[in-house]
Amino acid sequence: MKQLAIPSLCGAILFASSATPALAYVDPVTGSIIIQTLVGGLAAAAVALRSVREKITAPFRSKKKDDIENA
Amino acid sequence: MRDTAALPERDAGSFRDPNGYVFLHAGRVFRAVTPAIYEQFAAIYDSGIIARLSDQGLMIACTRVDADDAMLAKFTGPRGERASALYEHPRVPMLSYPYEWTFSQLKAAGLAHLDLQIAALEEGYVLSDATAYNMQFVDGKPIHIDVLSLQEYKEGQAWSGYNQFCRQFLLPLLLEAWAGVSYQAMYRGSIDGISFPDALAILPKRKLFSSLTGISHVYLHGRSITSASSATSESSSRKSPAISKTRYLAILQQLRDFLADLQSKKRSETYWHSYASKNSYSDTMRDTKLSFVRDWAERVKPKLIWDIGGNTGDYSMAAIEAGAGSSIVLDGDLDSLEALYNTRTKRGVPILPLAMNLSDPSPDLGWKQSERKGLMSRANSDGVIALAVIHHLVIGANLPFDEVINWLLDIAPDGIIEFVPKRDPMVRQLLEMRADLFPDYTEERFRQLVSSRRKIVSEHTFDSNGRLLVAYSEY
Repeated sequence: MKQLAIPSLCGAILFASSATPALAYVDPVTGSIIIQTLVGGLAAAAVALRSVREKITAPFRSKKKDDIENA
Repeated sequence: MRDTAALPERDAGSFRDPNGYVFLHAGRVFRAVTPAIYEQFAAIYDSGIIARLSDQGLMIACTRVDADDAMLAKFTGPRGERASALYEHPRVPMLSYPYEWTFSQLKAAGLAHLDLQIAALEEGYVLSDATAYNMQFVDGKPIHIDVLSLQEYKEGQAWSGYNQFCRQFLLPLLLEAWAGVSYQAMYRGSIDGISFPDALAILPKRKLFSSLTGISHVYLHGRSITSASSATSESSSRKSPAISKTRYLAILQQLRDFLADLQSKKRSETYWHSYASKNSYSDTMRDTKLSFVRDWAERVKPKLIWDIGGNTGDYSMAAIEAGAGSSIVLDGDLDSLEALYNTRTKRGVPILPLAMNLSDPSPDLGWKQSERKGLMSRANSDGVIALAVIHHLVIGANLPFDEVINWLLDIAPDGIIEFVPKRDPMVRQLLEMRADLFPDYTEERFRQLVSSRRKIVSEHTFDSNGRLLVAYSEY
């Protein structure tokens, strides 16, 4: 999932709306754990999209391979 | 287990996890498990998960050892913990660290770590951490060496190693893939990996915000760590949110998909296919050296060679074909090491490339400066080859000639060193723009230095400028 239009847009919005540079430091693990609900949702969508894309493109990919092998 | 007089020696890098420690004893590697986790780990071991992961090449083998109370008492942890059980692992031939790995090696280690996590989670287990130092190359493949990281998955729990994985695998790989920055020096200076603020400052914004990984695992993750709002007492007392198993698995799978496609900005896959043909020139000088190395390896049959300045590993390959067991190629040229890894190591040739500036080799690092061992603390080879390298160290890097030769002799009892004289075009080129401050750099002094500590077994002068190959053994 190299390029995603929607996350790109989200990223641009987040970047544009981000507050002043962070100054405080908290236990790195805390932030890493809290963010996983959001990151996990995005990742689940990406994995599902990839799976759908692979199912759609599978017949074309195998046909292409057969063509090459039979050439 | 048979008792021996000597006390087990705890590995200096094994102290963080109070659940168990690694010990070396009578040439064997043991893991002592403390009472804190004895029962939980025994249940994990008995479930057979470690054996299954080991069979898949994802985790180091682990065998329970019968040990009586007297023996267990000898395996005491740094906090005074007495061992409740002992397990044994096969010995890793050569410990190496992520700041010594090329892009392809770190990527392979990251993928292997994620494969392990996915396989474990599907069976109801997780890893408590994601440190890259727990990945070690055995027979050319990265495997996880810390069985105590394995824990039972609890519904709703988050990935506790997420931060560590990003700092120690993802961010350094992105530095090279997206910014063309070699991460090794930064990584060596920061034992916990690349920090999020540094990565966010270096990585191009265009790359960062045009991929899901950039947005989620780097930007949002980085912001969540350094967020000013997170520092309030209200948020610090907040309960950890529950993460569904589906989302946990999705993070691992999405990162795996992303890493599998990630390419170095400096080199593409196709580059390596053409690299061998571009460099596979053959001339008399090279053939002579290959033949000398083969004769030496046939005679000495070293189990493990250190190939100093070994480039793409051609001479290591010749030694292995002639009877050497395996080789570690130490070189500062990342391009050559990448070529070596992609064309040989990945295909099963027992040569491990390690990125090493030979005039500034990896030092002892970490807590008490013994957590990560320096290069010479890991010297374990019985053969060394140093071909066309000493002039770079003595003349190129201004290192004392005597010290360079003695350093090479210290590495192993047997070896080959090539002396490149001052009249050689390569040395003349080094001296072209500078004063000759090296009056002692002579063949005579070279012979004196080698023969003062080793017996010269064979030698060969092989070109008109006087390049000299010397093979030596212990007196």
